[in-house]
Amino acid sequence: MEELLRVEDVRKTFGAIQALRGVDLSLYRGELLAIVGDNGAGKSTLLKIIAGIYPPDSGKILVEGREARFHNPMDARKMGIEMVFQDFMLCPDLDVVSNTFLGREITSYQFLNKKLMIKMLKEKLKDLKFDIPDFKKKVRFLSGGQQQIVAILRTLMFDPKILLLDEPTANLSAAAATEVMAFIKDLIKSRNISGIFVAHDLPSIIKYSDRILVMRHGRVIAERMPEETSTVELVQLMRA
Amino acid sequence: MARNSLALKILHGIKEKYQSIDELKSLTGLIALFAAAAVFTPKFYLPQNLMMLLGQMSVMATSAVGEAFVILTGSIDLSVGSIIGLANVVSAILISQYNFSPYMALFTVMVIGGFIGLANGISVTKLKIPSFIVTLATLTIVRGAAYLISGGLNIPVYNEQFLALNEVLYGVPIIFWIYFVSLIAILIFFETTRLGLYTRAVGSNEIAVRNLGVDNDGIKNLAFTMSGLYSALAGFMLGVRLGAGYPHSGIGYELDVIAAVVVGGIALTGGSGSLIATFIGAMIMTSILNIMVLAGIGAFVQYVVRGMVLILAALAMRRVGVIVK
Repeated sequence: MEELLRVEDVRKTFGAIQALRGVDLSLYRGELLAIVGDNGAGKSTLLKIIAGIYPPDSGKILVEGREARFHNPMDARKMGIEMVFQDFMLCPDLDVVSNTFLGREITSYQFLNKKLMIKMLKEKLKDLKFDIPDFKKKVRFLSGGQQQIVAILRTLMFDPKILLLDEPTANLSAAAATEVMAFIKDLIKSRNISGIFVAHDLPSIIKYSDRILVMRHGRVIAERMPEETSTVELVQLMRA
Repeated sequence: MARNSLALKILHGIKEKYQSIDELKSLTGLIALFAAAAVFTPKFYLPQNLMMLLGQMSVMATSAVGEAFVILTGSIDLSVGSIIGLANVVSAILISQYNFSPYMALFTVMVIGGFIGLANGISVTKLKIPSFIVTLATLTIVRGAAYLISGGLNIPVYNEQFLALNEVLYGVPIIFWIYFVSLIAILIFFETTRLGLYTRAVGSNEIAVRNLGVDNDGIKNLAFTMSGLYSALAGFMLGVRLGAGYPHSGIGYELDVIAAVVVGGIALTGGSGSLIATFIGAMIMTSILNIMVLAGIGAFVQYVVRGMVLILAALAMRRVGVIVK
């Protein structure tokens, strides 16, 4: 299997707190990797380092075998790494189009080319079989589920290689969460991209992931295949 | 039955559209105000009065454009009144004592205003001091500078070119044209470029914008610089209206300017509203004052009424979720 991402001995400290104490992981093409751990285990910090939001104190990140140095999230986005956040990270006062292209707007002679952006958005929606009734609607007028669709759309607009999902279903109803997870799984398989997702819902992790890493106190302490583990074992590993 | 539900759907659609455009509330307020003026003070509609109104509102509205930039990013600029005062004094000195042409004087004060704004921005973004505190300090420092430079004295300007800017062109005061052109220019920039979009985005969700790799600090610095530039332009325009530089001009102006921005429909929490709102807000604030003067309402009552208008505007915005997000 082709290794798409490798994280080597990544460490991160916030003041007196050692959030990551040397994390190693590999992510393969077409794989959905889950990371579980108790609060404060370092899961979100790890995702944010891969996404270029935090710089690591030490360690390496390799994308398709090449070392990547991210000075900001845009550097990571340019290398095809996109992140979906628990609280959507949308701008509620901007419309759907502006939110979808935020940070990577299409311009002609420095002016925003809204027509082209709408056209691209329509094509992407058709491709993904999503539906948003009004692109010019401000996001604050959309339902939670629709907002999550906009957040996911934003990450998919420019054909990412790696999706990072930080509790993508935490703010959704059970039905919407199942739908979103099924969609993500299908997306990763059909487009042969990869994903890392962090979640607390262990049954859904076992159901949808290809591999599970358990983190505790800033380290990866175990690796399990979903068909060979159970929620009870995962909880024991997280809390041991 | 079907007809009823169709009518309800149409009404719902109109209501949704009305609530989604922030400026419509304030525009409704402005129309209501003009209607009230027709009933209570018909003199309001005399051409001389309307002309004066446009001249009066131009200074406040120009400064409000810059203030709106800052407020849209979720910060506040309390130094605009002092920058107006400094620009008023400096432009008067440059023209009357150093023989600067009005245009060179305008350019110079705008550079000064821009630098003061940028200093405010850097203090907020790099030194991490809240904008309220930074600009409160700047308010005092810049006002002190205006007094020091002028020696506390008024500076009359006799330059004909400068005084000619207080004339009328095509039936409208020239300073209103200056304001109008500067508004249109910035409106095009604001509505059609990335920087305009990011200004609103930063105010709407700063963390999200940062996580997507947008330079938040750069956007905030730009907003404060614009505020300084536009307030300096407003100070120059005030000099044109007064025909002189007064070191105490612009005192307390920041409150009127912020009120104009909020009454226009821009959320104090940032992110929501457009620059066109500043025109509506400044027009409402100036018209209220004008109507009260025409109606013979005393100056003390005027303060109370203006404050109440601000509260009403805030309430109106709150109902559509503009201020409380």
